[in-house]
Amino acid sequence: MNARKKTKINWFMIILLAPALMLLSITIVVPVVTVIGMSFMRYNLMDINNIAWNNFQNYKDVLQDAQFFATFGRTLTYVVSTVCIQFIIGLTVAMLLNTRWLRGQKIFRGLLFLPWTIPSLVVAVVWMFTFQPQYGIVNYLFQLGNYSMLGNPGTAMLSVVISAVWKQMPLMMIMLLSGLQTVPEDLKEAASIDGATGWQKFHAITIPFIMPVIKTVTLTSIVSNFQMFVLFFTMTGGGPVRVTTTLPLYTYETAFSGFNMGKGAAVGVCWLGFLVIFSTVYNKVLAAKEVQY
Amino acid sequence: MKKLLSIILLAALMGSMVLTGCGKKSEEIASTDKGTTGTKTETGTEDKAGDTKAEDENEIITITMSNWLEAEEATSEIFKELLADFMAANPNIKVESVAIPFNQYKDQVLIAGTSGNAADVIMGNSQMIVAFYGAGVLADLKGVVSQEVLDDIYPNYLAGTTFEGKIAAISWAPHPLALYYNKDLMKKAGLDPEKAPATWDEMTEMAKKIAALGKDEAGNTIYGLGLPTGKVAHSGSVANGVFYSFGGHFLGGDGKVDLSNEGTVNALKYMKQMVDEKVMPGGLEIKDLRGLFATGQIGFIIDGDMGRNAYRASSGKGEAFDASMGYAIIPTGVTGRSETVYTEHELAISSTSSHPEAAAKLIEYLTGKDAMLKYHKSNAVLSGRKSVAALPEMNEDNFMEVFNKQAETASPLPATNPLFDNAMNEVTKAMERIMVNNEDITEVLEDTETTIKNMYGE
Amino acid sequence: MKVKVSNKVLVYLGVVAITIIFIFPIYWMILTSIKPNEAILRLPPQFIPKGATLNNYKNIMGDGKFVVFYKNNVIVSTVTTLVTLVLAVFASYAFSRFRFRGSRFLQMLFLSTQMFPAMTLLIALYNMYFKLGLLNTYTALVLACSTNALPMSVWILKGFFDTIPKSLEEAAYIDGSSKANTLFRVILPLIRPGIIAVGIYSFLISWEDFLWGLTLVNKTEMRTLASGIAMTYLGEYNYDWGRVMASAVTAAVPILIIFIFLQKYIISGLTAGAVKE
Repeated sequence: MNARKKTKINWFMIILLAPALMLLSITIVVPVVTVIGMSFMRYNLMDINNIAWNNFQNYKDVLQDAQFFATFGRTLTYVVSTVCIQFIIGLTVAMLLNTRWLRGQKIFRGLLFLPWTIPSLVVAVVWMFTFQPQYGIVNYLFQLGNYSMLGNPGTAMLSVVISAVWKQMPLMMIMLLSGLQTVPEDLKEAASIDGATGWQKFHAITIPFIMPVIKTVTLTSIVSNFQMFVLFFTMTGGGPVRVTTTLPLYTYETAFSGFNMGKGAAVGVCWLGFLVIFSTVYNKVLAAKEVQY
Repeated sequence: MKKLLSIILLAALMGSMVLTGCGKKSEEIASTDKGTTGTKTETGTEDKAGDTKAEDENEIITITMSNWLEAEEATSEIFKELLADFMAANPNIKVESVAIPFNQYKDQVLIAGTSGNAADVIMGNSQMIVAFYGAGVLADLKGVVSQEVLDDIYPNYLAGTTFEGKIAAISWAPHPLALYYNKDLMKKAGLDPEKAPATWDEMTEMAKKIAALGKDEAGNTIYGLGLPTGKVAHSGSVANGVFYSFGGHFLGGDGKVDLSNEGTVNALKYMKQMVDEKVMPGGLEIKDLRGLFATGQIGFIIDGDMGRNAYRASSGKGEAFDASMGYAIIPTGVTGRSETVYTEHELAISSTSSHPEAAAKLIEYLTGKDAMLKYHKSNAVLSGRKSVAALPEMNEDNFMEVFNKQAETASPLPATNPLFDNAMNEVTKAMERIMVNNEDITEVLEDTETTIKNMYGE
Repeated sequence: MKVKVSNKVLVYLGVVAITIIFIFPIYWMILTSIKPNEAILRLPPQFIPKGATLNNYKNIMGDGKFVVFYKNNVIVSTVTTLVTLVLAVFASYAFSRFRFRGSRFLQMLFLSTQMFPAMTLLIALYNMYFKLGLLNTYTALVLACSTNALPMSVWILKGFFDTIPKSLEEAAYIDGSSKANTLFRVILPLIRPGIIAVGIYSFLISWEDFLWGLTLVNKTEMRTLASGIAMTYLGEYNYDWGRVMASAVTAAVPILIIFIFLQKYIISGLTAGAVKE
């Protein structure tokens, strides 16, 4: 019986995995492998017929470029602040909405979900309009005069973070809410009967229970925010004075404006390496806090 | 289990290798294509000409034209009409428009171009065309577009699109930048709305008086002058005109980058002073400034001929807004000449086009008299061709007179390097550092000069 | 269980305050979309518009293009959602239930496909779809968007599968239920909230797609919303705020309706309450 079961599980698993694997290997693994290959080549759009091995020159260029490290730091600032803020707001809202006696949940959920239905490109335009120094509503409401939120190095990144949080919080909230709704009520009730406080229940039951969801939504958010291009490109173009030039923009500048595809690819490889290591560690750390069956 | 997994992985890897292999091969094919384009196009033209003559009646050639005009409201109708007219006159040629958003246009054409799939006719502006040329996307128009047409283009315009002796594109609609001013604000500030400033000093005085109005009744700040100083490469490009007015330049006499010269420093000092005195808003791009001018919040603005339509639309008043607008050539600066630059819509042919002769026909038509008169009537564009620009229909009112006069003294953008757009981006960043970050002008310019020189490989 | 009135008030206040903050920009969008242009670009802002007009809406609906962008986006997003859901449910179930060597590596491989800057992939991807003859097709957009949505969907769903005790399946197997049957009849109903969440996620990933709609498609009649809006209203010379806002509002409304409709299912998925067992 044992042997029969084993082969059966195998085939079942392979049938389950195969379609996704096939799609990904054709549409992304191949191009990524190609581009990783390109990162070792002299690959310049101005001289496209002359693609040749260049002895790690792209990597040397990247690692010697002070701009690369500055850019990396800015990207971290953006990603960490965006993800933290939206996680805190998202979890708070999800907990509030998960209150059983709360009326009008549907309406609140529906309304709060709205920002996510707006394409990032339009989000960028809406916030550009909102932050416009002369006739923008933010300046009017907060009495900022003609101070340009997006035009000043001190506030440009903050402005982009605000628009990113606004756009992404709903997803975070919905995912956490879905997670919260799988937390068994009777467990919490049992804890209450045993005299647990709200915080104890939250800490000992809720969090471990939804840890898999937390892990995935935050990691999802981290990885996708590393890719954030449209908001920056449209709202600030990386300026003023490069304070919002994050990795996607730097890659874009290098690859398209600078025509240096090889160096652009090398930046991508460094970025990939960092994220792979980071997410492995992140997973290990958070997995330890999961509830085990 | 392990075995099966490794089989899947292996299959995936093999698949990827096969596909990458394919990619390489076709790239090679594409590149050999490009290597021989020069000769191929010419012989190709003759062959094809013979072919098409024989098959005129039954063979319909389809060519594509990449552009951003088809979708934008200001140009959508007229552009479609021009293509329809062309197809009516050439029943054997079908033109398909490939519309791409303006902000992403350069990258998208480069992506398609490097894959050997660029449209037959490629529209672009001066900054884009030099980049397309650098990436080998464009064919030499000499011998493709008729010599008659090439000779008809103003020599300075033709020079602006000729690189290394090759004609990369031809001028379709040049846009010299001239001066617009708000007559209502002039009146309010006690100035004569019919008397445009003749020198930069005069303009500065007037701008200061307008800025001194402070705020309008609704609380909107009023500025005297609007020059773009931030965000996009376009701001850097436009600054070239201001540099010239102050005796500065981006390229030195030897054609090499030379930013930290006295004139450029003075130009930036001037702009910085205007921003500090709140005569001019700092760090904005032209699209922001247009909105402000159109709603009566800026006295003087430097803009191309297309500005008028943009102001009409943004003001919400349409042509009625013309009553508030005055036009003049750029005031003279230290050179004693009305210094400005022009940007341009240009037309080119892709080096991989299989129908260069049909593409050339389209270009000849679009820049020709019939099309330009129509285009002019709807959008008040100028023409880069002598025979067309001189027509009375192209010089019908004061607005056109001003812009045609401005065209005489407008210099081309110093777009001599494929990375020009990138360089202008650096200039914009330099302006931001000066205007917004209050950094030292000379230092910033020296920095920027080094960066651009490295970029250009000088 | 009794809840203190003061707590109730606090919760309501909190929810209402956050909702107002998040909804204000939407209100502002709607307002802007019905203002005439000269009111948009001037102070003081009108919180209740004078001379409200539906011109922007008439205009975007009337020019024929917007409707086409919209239709394309609906098609691409719907198909992408279906494709992603099927593939993600299968793969995530496999990852959640079967411990095999290389499982972690494969999961990381899935996720890492989203860790490479799309910008540098553009040329390679364009080239590939060009070679496959798929440029200007829905297929290309669906493939590209599914690729974007799939890795995260797998991860999210795996999180949900992981919350389901294995004992449930074991019980089903003992009752003689087949593997596939167990997955579809026993497990899937339990993770309905997860499936709906992932469905919404993948729908919106493709709904908001800009890059692929920009790169893999270049015919106006094949463009999707984001690239269509960029092409039409964020032009060379100025931004047409009013119309951008009108198109954004129009784009958001149906999604809101779909979402409100699906909320029922999230709740019914819960009232089934099987998780408790």
